[in-house]
Amino acid sequence: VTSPVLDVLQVFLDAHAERYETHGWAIVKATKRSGPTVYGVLDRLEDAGWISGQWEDYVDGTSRPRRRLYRLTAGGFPAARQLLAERRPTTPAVADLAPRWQVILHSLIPRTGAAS
Amino acid sequence: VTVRDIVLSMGLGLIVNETGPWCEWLAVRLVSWSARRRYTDKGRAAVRGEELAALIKERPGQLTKLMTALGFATAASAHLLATRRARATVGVSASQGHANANSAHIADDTRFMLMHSQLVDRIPTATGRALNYWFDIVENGPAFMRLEERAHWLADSYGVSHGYASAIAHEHNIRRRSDQ
Repeated sequence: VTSPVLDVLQVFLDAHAERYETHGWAIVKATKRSGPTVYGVLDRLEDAGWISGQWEDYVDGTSRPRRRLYRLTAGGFPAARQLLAERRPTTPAVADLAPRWQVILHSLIPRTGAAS
Repeated sequence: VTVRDIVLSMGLGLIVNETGPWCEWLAVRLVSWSARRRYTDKGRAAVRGEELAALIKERPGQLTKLMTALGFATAASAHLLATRRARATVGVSASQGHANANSAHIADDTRFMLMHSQLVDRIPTATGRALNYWFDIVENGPAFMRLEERAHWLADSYGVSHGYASAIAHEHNIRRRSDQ
């Protein structure tokens, strides 16, 4: 497992903890990785069934094109948590990441789907 | 600051301003092209194409849009080259060449696959059925489905959680490929 995979999974775990779905560009910004790198990781995680993506609902009053929102699947969450715990045991707690996330959260849509 | 500097900066500003809409158009075309080249799965190519076009439109600044698009186009070209090289090395048909490039990718990612196999190991406990039971269902289910569709079908029809449904579909695909 490469370090971009771990970075992306960390973003997903944080998003999972805060109960929102995230999108490609938000992950690019949060991980400071290049677009193609992040989308390469998303391809693999989606193929492995760790994450699933769906188009966001149409939002009235915005001219912005719809985003594809991603979240960890029921099987992906424990697997990602286990992997991160093994490979990055010193990962700071979600609370420690809060200031960074407050900036990122502004660019994110609140979670629309029900947790399943 | 000389007169030349002022004229130059005004000129550059004018160029960027005038070529603005054209930059976005080109950037969107570039990412759509990248998605079509990068993914052989037509469904995924369409999804990524729309996703990346939306991403380009959200990027501030015309040059940023173009640079972002160029990044994706470069990555797609590199992927194409790698696929072609793999095909040329083994000297086989196009489809086999692609399968080989895929298996090379999987080999690079053995550790990632290890995590997948841990997920697969948990399937009997999590679903209450053996792996072969699920493979039989997949094989007797609707044919010609993409991996993602098959996972959705399993989850919807048999109440398997999406993560495990994907793992079953994925594992079935891997084993079928290695049997060939």
